Amino acid sequence: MRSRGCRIWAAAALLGAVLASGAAVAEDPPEAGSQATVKVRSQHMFPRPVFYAEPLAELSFGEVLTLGESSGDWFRATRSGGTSGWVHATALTGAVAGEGDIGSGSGEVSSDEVMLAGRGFNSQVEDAYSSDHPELDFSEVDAMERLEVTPSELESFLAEGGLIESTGSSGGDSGDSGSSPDSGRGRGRS
Amino acid sequence: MVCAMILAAALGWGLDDLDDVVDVVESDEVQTAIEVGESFHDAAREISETEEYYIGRAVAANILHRYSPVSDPDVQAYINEVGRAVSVYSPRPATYGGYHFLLLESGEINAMACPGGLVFVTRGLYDLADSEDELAAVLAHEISHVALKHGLRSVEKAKWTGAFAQLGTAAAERYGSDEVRELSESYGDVVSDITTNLVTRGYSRDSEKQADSLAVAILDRSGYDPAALKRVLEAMAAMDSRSGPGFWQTHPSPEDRLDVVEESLDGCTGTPRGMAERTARFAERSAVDASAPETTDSGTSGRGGRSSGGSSGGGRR
Repeated sequence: MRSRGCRIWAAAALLGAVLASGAAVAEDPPEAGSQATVKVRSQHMFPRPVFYAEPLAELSFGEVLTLGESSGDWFRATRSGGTSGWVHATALTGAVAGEGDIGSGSGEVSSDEVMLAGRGFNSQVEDAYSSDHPELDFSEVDAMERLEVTPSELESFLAEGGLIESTGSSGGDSGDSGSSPDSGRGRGRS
Repeated sequence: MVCAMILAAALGWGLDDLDDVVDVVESDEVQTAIEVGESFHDAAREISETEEYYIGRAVAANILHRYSPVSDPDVQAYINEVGRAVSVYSPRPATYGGYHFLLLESGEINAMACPGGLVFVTRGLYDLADSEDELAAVLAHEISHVALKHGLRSVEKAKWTGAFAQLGTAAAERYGSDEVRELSESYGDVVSDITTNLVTRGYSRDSEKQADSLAVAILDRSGYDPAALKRVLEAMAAMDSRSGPGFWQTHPSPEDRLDVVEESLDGCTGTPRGMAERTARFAERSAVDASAPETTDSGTSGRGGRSSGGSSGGGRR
C-alpha cells in the first residue's frame, strides 16, 4: 500500500485529469513524439527538468514544438530552429492551431482549440467590461503581473533558504523521473 | 464515462492497487470534480486557459478596488519569491499568465486566489505568520485553490450555461460590437460570482479541505515544513476575536481544518531543513519600512512581535 501522502498527491493529480476530461471534447494533452503548442503567455525552455535552471530559450504563446522523451511532467521539446530543452507539460497543449473546426458553433471543439483561435473571453471582452466599470483600474493588475521571479532569482532564493543543494546552474537537484509534477524536489526529501 | 476516465487516469498515475483506485475514486475530492466535470459537459466545453486568465484579471481588479497594495516593493518581491518557490511544486506550475502575489494593506485576516494565479494576502494574515514556512503554507493553500480551479468551480452552473451559449455562436476571432456587449455581460456575471465568493461568501467546505490537503503535499515536496500550515491554523484558533470581514466569513473554523491537516501530515515523509535560515530571512525581509506611514490597526500585531504596519479593516474606497 502506498503512503497516504502519495495517495493525496495522486488524488490531486486525478482531480486535474477529471477537470480536464469534463468537457464534451477534452483538452488535448501533449504526447511524446507529437507536436505541441505553448498555451501560456511565456515559458522558459530549460536544460534540465526544473524551473530554476538557466533557461535555454523563452517560448511564447502559440509556438509549436516537437516533443521527444518525457520525464515526470516534463517533455524534451525541440523548436523549429533546432533548440532543444525541457518544457513543463502544463505549459503545453497537444492542440495545434488551425486543426480544429471552430466555425460551426456546434461545441465540438476542445477548449484549447478555442483558445488558440483567440476565441472566448479575451482582451476585447475585458476592454468592454472595463469600459462599463470605470471604477476598476486594470493598470494595477498589470503592475501585479510585472512582479516576476526569474529562474536565476528562484535558484538563489531556494539555495539560500536551504530548499535545494548549493547553487550554480549545474547545482541543485538533477530532477527525478517519477510521477512528480515538478522534477525538482526539495532538499531533504528522498 | 467520467468514471472510466478516472480509472484510466488512476492507472496512469501508478495506482495499480485496486483498493487504492477505489478509495481515490470514492473520495470527496474526486466526487466533487465529477460534478464539476458534468457541469462543464452540459455547457459544451471547459473554460480555456486564456479565458480563465481574463476572468482572473477582472476578479483581481475588483479586489484591488476594495483593497490597496502594501507600498513596500521589497516585501512584495519577497512574497513573490516564496510564492514561486511553492508554486513550482504544485500540480499546475504553469498557467497562462503565471502566478503573481500581492500583499494588501489591510488588518483583516484573509487571502484570496483569483483564477489563473493572481493571489492576494492581507497584511493581517502575513503578520500572523511567524516564519517563512508559515507564509509558504498560506500561499500553498491559495495556490491549491488555483490548481484545483476552485474559483471557476464556484460559479453557478446557470451562468456558465449562459456564457457558453454566447461563446459558441461567433466564428470570427474578433467579435462584433453586439457580440462583445453580450459576452461582456456574461463575463461580468462570472466575475461577480467569483469575487463575491472570494470576498464574502467563501468556497465550500470541501474545497477548503481539498486546498489544505494539497497544500500539505506541496509543502512536503518543496522542502518547506508541511506542519507550518498546522501552526498557522493554531495561531488563528488562538485569536480572541473572530468577527469582521475576511477569513472568519469565508473559511471553516481553524479547528475543523486542523483535523484535515493533521490527517494529511501523517503521510509526509520529509525532514525539513534550513528552517532557521528561512526564519531569519523572513524576519529580515518582513521588517516594516521605516518610511511607511504609521497606521493604527485593529487587526493582528503579529506573533513574532513585528509591527504590523497594517491598516484598519481593509476598506479602500
